Amino acid sequence: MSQSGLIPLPVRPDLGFIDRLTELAGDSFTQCYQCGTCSVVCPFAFQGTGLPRREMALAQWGLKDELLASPNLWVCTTCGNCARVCPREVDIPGTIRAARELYLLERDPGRELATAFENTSRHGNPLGQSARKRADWIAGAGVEVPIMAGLGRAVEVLFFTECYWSYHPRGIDAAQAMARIMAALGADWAVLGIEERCVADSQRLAGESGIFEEAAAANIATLDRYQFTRLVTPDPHAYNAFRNLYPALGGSYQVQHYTQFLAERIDRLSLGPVASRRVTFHDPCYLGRHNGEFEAPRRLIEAIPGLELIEMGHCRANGYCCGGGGGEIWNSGYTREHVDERLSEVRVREAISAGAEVLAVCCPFEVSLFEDAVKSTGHQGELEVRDITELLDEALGAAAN
Amino acid sequence: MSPRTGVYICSGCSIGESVDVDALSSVAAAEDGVTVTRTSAAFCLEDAQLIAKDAADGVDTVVVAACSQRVNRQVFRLGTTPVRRVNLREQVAWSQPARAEATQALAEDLLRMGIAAATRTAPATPYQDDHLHSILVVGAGPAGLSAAAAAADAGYEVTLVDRAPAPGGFLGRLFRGYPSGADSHLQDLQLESLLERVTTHAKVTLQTSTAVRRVSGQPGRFRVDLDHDGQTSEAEVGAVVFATGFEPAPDQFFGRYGLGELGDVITSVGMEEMASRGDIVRPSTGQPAQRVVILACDGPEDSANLPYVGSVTSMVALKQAMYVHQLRPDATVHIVYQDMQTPGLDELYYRHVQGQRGIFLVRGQAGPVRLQEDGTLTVPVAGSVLGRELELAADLVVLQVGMVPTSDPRSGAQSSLHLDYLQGESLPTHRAGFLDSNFLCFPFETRRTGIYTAGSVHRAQDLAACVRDGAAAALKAVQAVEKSAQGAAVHPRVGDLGYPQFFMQKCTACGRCTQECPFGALELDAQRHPVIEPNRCRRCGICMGACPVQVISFPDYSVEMLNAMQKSVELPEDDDKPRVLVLACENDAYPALDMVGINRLQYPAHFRTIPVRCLGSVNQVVVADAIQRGYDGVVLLGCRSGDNYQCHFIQGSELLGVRMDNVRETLGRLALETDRVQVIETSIADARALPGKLTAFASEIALMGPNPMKGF
Repeated sequence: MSQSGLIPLPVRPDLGFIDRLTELAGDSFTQCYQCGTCSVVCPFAFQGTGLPRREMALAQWGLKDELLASPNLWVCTTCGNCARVCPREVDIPGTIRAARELYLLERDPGRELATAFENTSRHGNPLGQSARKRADWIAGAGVEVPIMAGLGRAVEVLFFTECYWSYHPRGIDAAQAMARIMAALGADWAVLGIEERCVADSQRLAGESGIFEEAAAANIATLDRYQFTRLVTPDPHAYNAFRNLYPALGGSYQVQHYTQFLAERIDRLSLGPVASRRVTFHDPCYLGRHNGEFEAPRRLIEAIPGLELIEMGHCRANGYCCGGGGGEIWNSGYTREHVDERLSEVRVREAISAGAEVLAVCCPFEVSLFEDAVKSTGHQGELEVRDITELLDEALGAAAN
Repeated sequence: MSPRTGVYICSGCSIGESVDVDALSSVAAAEDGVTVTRTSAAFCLEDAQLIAKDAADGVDTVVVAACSQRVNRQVFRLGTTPVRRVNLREQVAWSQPARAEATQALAEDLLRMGIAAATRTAPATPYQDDHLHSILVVGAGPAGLSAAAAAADAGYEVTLVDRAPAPGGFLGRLFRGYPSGADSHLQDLQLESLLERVTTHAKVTLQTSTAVRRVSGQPGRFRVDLDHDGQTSEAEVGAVVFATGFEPAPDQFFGRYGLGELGDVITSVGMEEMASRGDIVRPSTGQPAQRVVILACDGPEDSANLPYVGSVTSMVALKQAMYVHQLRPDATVHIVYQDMQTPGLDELYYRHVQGQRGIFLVRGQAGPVRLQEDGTLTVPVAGSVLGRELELAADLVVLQVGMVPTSDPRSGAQSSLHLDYLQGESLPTHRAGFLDSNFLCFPFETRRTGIYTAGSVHRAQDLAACVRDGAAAALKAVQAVEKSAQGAAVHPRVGDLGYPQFFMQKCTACGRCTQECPFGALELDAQRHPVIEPNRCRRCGICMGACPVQVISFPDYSVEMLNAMQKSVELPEDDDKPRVLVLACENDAYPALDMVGINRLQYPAHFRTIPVRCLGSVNQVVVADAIQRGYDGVVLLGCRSGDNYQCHFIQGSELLGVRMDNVRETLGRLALETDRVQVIETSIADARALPGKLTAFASEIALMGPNPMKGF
C-alpha cells in the first residue's frame, strides 16, 4: 500500500498503443511535462477530476487500460481551454478524441452516445428524427425560404441549417428568425432542405470518425451539385468541420458562421429599440477558442438598440464551456454521474452574478442546455436565454412597428 | 606647505536653478586652503580645461561640485592630482525642492564636506615590485586545458599541473557529451583537440602526476612548491587558475536507493562506463537490460546530502536515456525527476529526448528500490500527476549522482593549494562548497586575490561551460598580473593605487585586521604586528574599519577624513532642522541614491551623505563621534547581507552587524535611543523604495526629538 492508500499502479508502457495514438493525434502528447496547468483552466477544475492532466500522463506513459477505463475520457467536452494554456502546446482535445476512437474500436460506447451514433447513421441526425422532416421548420417562418433543389440556379448564400435548427423546437425558433432576417436583407439564399445531412463533427470528437467521414462524403457530393458563393451555417461545430476538415476531404468552400455573415451586413438591417436589458454573451468554444471569432457576435448584440452588452469573467479566449461540445450534448446522463454539477449550471450562475438579464448564444446546442440550467438552478424568470437571431428578429419587429 | 585647493562649482543640469551657486562660491572661498573658486554652466565641456590649467598652475587639490562621482570620471581625472567630487546634481538638484532654504543648506554642507575630504587626501605612491608574466593552472581537465591555452595565447608562460598521470580530468570517464543548441546528436568529447592546443603550445609546460604542496607570496609573484611523484620542485608564477573539477557524490548518499547493495543499481558514472563498453546490461547477470529506470535523485531526502541540483544532472539523465535508446532500441527508459532543469536552448534537447519512442519522463519522487523474487527491481514513485503511487519495473536502475567540488571536504578527492596564508591554507568556499565569491559581480574570483577558479570546482557546470570558464578565468589571472605590475588594485576598485598604511607605533597587535580582511592580505610579523602583501589587497578598507585604535589609513581614505567630513556639517539647534549622517556604500547604496535623483524622487533634506568604500570600512569611532557631536541620527546605507549577500568585498555588511552592536552599546552608555543609528539595506534595483525608507527613518528621529548632545 502506498501513501494514497491505493495499490501502486504498475507502469508497463504499451508502445503499440502510443503508436496508434500518434497516428491519430500526432505526437504532441509525448511532450507533456506534467505541470498541470491544463487542469487549472479545465471547466471541470472545480470538480476535482484531474482532467486532463491525468489523461495526458496516462497517454504519454502508454497506460492503455487505465486511460481507456478513465471516466474522464467521456466527460471532456474538447472545449480546448487546456490546449490554449499548455506550455508544451500539446493537442489535448485531439489526443482525447484519438483515445476515444481507439476505445470505440474495442469497446461499446455508453448507451446515450450509442443512441446518438445510431440515429446519425440511420436518420442523418442525432435526434432520431425523420430525414424527410428536415425542412418542415420552413413552414412557420412567415417568409419564403428557397430550397436549392427547386431553384435550378446559383445562389449567393447556401445556408447549411444543421440538425438542431432543423428539428429542436428552440432551434426552429432561431432558424425561423434567421429566415426573417435574410428576407429583411433581401439575401439571395437557399437551404438544402431534406438533402442535408448531419455534419457529425461532434460525433467525430466523441470518437466516431467513421460516421463523420461518411456524412462528409455525402454532404460534399450534394454540395458539389450546386453553385453558391458562400456556405453559411449557424452551428460552430459544422463551421469547424467545413473550415478545417472538409478541404482535406475534397470540399473547399468560402464558409462563414451566421454571426460573421450578418456582422458584415448589420448596417443594412433596420433595427428598432427593444425592451432595455443587460445582455451577456456566451462564446461558443468552436467559434471562439477553436476558430478565433470573438467579435462578430458581439457586434450584432451591440447593434441592437436597448441592449447593454456586459461580459462575464470567463469570456473570449478564456470562455467557459456550455457542457455540450465533443459529443457531450448526448452524454449528459453519464457525465452527471461522474461530476457534481453540469457546466451549463455553473455558466448560468456566472451570468446571473455578472448581472445579466439575457444570456445570448449563437450555437444550436446552447439554448436548450442553458434553459434547462436556468430551471435546475432555480433561476426561472431571472435569465432569458436567446439566440442572437432571436434578438435581431425582435429588433426588426420593433423597427417595423 | 599648506594645500592649495581649487573648488569648481557647476550650475548645469539644473543645479543653477536649484541652488544659489554664487552663495556656494562664497562658502567655498571661506574654507581654509581654498585658493581658487570658479563656476561654470558646464564643467564637463570646454571648461574642464580651466581646471586642468589651474592644476598646472599650482592647485594641488581639486573639488568638483557638480554631478555624481559615478559619472564623467574621465573628464575630471587630472593625473596624480587628487580630485574630490561633490554631488550637487543627483543628490541635491534632482531630489530636493529647488530654491528651498533646506536645499541650499544641504548643498553648502556637502561642499564643505568635499573640501574637508580633499584637503585630507594625499597622492598615492603605488607599490612596486617585480612580477612574472606566468600563470600556474592547477587541474588539466577541460577548464584547466582551456585556461592554459587562453593564458598562453595571451603571451603568458603557463605551468599546467595535474595530480593524475594523464590529462583530461573527468572527460576520460565519459562516453559522450550532450549537445547544446539545436543539434540533437550525442557529441564526441574532443579531448584530443583540447589537449592539442596545449601540448603543441610552446608556452605551456604540462606536468602530470604533479601535486601542489604549498603556495605563498602575492599576485605578481607567488612561490609554488610542486611534488612530482615524490620529487619536489619550486616554481614562481604571477597568478593562479584553480580548476580541479569535481568528484561524483559519494555512494553513501544513495543508500536509500540500494546503491552498493543491489547489483543492478548503478550510478550515472557507472552508466558512462557501461555505455563505453557498448551494451546496456544487468551487471548482476550480464543479461540485456530491457527496462531501465533513471532516477534524478533530486527529492527532499537527497537535498539533505547536497543542497543543490543543477541542469547538468538533468541533461546527463536525458543523455543517458539516449545511450540506452541507441544501444538497445527495443528497451524502455523511465526518467523519474522532481525538477527537470534544461535552461535556454537545452529545452530543445529535453523535447527531443522526450519525443523518442520508448523514453518516458515521470515527474514524481522515487522511493527505495526493491528487489523482486525474480531478481529484477521495482521503483516506487510518489507524487505523480495521477495522485497515486506508481511502480516501475526495472532491470537496471541508474542514479544521477551530484557533482561535489573538489574544494569540498566531502569530495572523495579533495584538492587544495595549501596556501601559506595566516587565514588558512584553503580557499574560502561559498555556499554548498563551491569556490564562488560572488557569481553575479565577480565570477572566477576567489577570496584570494590573484587566484581564480574555473570549471566544476567553481560551480556545477557542463563541458562547454567549463571550457568557456577556463578561458575567462585565465584572462582574469592575466589581468591580476598586469595590475600588480602597476601596483594597482583589481576588482572592484580597478586601478586604485593607494594601499593601507599602518601607524605601527600605536598598534596593539590585537590582530583583528588580519582576521577580518576578506582577502587574506594581512600576515603577522614576529611581533604579531600586521604586515600587508599589497598586491593581495583590494582596497576595501575593512581593516581600517576593524582597527580599534585607528592606526590604519589610506592616502586618500582615512578615519580622520571621515571624521573631518562629518565635523564640517553645520548642526543647527532648531528642532525642525534635524541632521542625519548617511554613510553610504559606494558600490550599491550610493548608486541607489543617484538613481533616486535620476528618477526625480524626493526625500527629506536632513541627510548628509558620505560615500564609503564598504560599510565594513566604517570604523565605529566615526559613528560614535557623530552622535556625540549632536547628529540626530546615523544611517549606514549598504547592500544585502546574509546568504544572498551583495557586498563587493564579501563580508562588509556582515562585519557591520558586529560593529553595530558596539555602537549600540556606546549609545546606551550615553543614554541615547539605540535606534538613532540604523542599518538600511538597499540595492540599485530597489532604489525606488529608498526615499520611503529614508522618510520613515526621518519620522522616527522626529518622534525621538533632537539629540540632547547637540551644542555641547
